[in-house]
Amino acid sequence: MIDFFGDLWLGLSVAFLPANLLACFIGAMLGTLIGVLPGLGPTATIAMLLPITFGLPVESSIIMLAGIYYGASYGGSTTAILVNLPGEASSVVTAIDGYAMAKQGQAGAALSIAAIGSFVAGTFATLIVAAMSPSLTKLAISFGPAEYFSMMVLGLLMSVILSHGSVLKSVAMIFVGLALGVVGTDINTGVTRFTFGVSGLMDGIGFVTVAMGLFGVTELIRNLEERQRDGDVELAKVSTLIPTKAQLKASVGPVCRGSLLGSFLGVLPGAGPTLASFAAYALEKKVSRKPQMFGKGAIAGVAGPESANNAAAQTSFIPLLTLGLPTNSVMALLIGALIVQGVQPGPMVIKNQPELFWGLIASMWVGNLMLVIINLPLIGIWIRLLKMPYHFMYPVILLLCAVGAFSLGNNDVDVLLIACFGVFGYFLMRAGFEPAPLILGFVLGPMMEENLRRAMTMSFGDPTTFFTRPISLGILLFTAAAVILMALPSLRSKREDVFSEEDS
Amino acid sequence: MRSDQRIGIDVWSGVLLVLFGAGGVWLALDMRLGTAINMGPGYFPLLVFSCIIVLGIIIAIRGLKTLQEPFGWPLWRPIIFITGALLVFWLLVEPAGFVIASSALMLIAIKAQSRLKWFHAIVFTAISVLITTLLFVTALKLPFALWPSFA
Repeated sequence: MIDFFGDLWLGLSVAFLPANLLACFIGAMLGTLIGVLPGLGPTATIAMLLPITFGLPVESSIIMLAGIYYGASYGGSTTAILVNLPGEASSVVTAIDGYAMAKQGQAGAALSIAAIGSFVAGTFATLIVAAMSPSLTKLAISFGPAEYFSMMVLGLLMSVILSHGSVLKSVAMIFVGLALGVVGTDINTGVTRFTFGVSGLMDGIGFVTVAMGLFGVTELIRNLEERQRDGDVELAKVSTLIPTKAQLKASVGPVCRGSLLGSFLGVLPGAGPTLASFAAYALEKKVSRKPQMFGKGAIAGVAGPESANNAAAQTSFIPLLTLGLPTNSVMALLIGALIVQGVQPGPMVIKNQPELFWGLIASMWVGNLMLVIINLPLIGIWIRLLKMPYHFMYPVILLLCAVGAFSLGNNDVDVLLIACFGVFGYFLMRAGFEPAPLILGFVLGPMMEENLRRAMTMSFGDPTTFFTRPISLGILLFTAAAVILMALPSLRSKREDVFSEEDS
Repeated sequence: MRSDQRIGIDVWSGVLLVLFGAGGVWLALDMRLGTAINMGPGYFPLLVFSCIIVLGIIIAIRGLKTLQEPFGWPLWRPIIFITGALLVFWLLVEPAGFVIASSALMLIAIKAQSRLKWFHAIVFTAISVLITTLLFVTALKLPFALWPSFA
């Protein structure tokens, strides 16, 4: 127990250094600035802002990223609530009741509850991460390539369960992602694969490039097209930020339930914030005494999912920090940033770089705090930004994408690639394919191949190794259980039920 | 819905997936495959692209079985101007430097909509390029050449 608080204290003392606080603050501001723009969620925002953190020392840069992340998710929730345009899957459910509240003049209350709920959940989840990570790290060291491979299979399948729309199409997207991940030099043999002689592709396609294209450029094209068809969006008014006593009281339960549920779901690879927010919404609707209020401005429909997705965002650090496995696109971006800074995430970080490990955990919490005490009162500025005509914003966003892509590796091919992925993403969207499973497949692809090769070499080519090693078998059984549960007709209809909420 | 619209978006997606997978398999077969114990560079790609072919076939067949809405063509202007802006930036940034490349990107991007008149577009571009130059090149020291080098 003393260890536990000592470790947290170490982290907080790193996060509270003035320079780091400033980095966090700037990050939160910039993150909100971009994240509040319609359609741009945390993934696109972090991808765009990643280059500005490169020049900083490692702790500061990670802390700034934490700020960006929280700013971006808060900005995303703001847009979801005020204009009903969620930037990313995890704030889709927030838009349902949040926007309904906004239409009734309760936008301020919804925003405050979202921020406060997130903070409470984030605090709770931080303690969970701090308590669980050290022991899980010990478990992680016993993981061999077979276990890693099974874990990634679990993560990929979970991301399918989560994506709405056709399961088949999502599986196809995973494989397309795996295929794109193969591009570049094969690390085992040094052979270049699928580069078509382009030297800029020798190191493979950068993850940030794909994310920026699929989430940033695609969104710009889609947005422009929609505006050309339907005209500009309408904006709800914000009167007071302070929620009423009744609203606060009604949020206590949802926030607690959301924190617990989110913390648990966040640990599962591939699940994370999106599943957490959908599950929390379904849960709140179930336990509510007035389920008919959901969709019409129930505060629990904002408080529960927002708490849950934040708790899950926090606990999804557990697989990242203990196994080095990114379980969603935001984590994948953070891994990318860590690697640029010369840190290889995995079980050794906690032992070799405790300041970084605990600083990272604490900075997530500080980023969250920053949001409540600084960002929330500034809501007026963000709203003014939302009111800014889109024709002034989108060219600047595009320029930021281009600059970001170029400066990633000073590789001008990346600019071309984000254009390609932007158009590709647009057609995927039109054809009903989701980019999220593709991204996860792309990130995990090279790791999967590596671990598959090693596992097969160690077992002398015997594929049953995945079933005879107990931990690997356990993970695969869990995966099978999840898939079977999903295929059961009763649950299947429920899943469609949850995902259809957004259309109502 | 008329029955001749059965060849919908899913069928075409499936066909494209099959083509993508087939192309990948064809390229993967050129590389050493190796064995399960000692996988060559082609082993994993072959596996992945084969699965894509199978999935593409299933998606196409299921698409044939269900009635689908016809595919509505996109509005081309945003797509062409947005990708065009990025392309021009890509072409110009090395030879002509950051200022010219980003100005070109901004102007083309602005014209993806018809909202701004040329004069306003130019003023807005000038302001944005000035700010981004100060932020990225002067303050953050990103390694861009500002102007074309005539050396």
